[in-house]
Amino acid sequence: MLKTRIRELRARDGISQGELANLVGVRRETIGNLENGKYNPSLKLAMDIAKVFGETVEDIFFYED
Amino acid sequence: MKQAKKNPLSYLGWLGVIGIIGIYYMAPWMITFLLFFFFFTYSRMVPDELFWSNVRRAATKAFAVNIGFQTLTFLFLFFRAVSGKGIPFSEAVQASGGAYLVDANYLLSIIINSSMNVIIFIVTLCTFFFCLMRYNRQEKKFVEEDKTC
Repeated sequence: MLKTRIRELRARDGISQGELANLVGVRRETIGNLENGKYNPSLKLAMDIAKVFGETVEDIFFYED
Repeated sequence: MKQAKKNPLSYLGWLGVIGIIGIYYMAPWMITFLLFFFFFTYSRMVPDELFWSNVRRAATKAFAVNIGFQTLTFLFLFFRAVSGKGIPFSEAVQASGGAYLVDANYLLSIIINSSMNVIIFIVTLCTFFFCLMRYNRQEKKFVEEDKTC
């Protein structure tokens, strides 16, 4: 299952779901679904999110059995 | 910050105008186009990738429903024809003077076929709408739960 550190990174940088959604051009629902592993992002969205947090895609998205 | 663009799916709402024309001319097939006005409700929704993913899922289900019902209709008409109620076109429709004589069973098959086309069109559209609404509700509900975290 694809896991993400988006929630953790948002908390670190003090960014709300809505703010992150605006920064990467998606809806708040999309960020919520991403955080909870209900949706797998495209490579473009993953890279956009990584850019916002100044991290690599691999640092944010990873597989967990 | 990225600019939010208008949702292209909402443009399908203009097809609803065909429904208004259908009311004026009392054409049932065209009246069903009123359902397309539903697409205007998506004009404010940002068309991001999760939205298009939901559209694809809903469209796949609508397509499957459409193919299923079309197949059943064709099979019904086929078995109706081979069971003796159907006759070849050359015999079913005959010109007589300035008029055409149409066999009653043949006419019934045409009516069944055209009626089913309208029904299948409505069912396909409704399947798409309800699936899309359900997926959108599911993702919203999910975010609401997240607020409590």
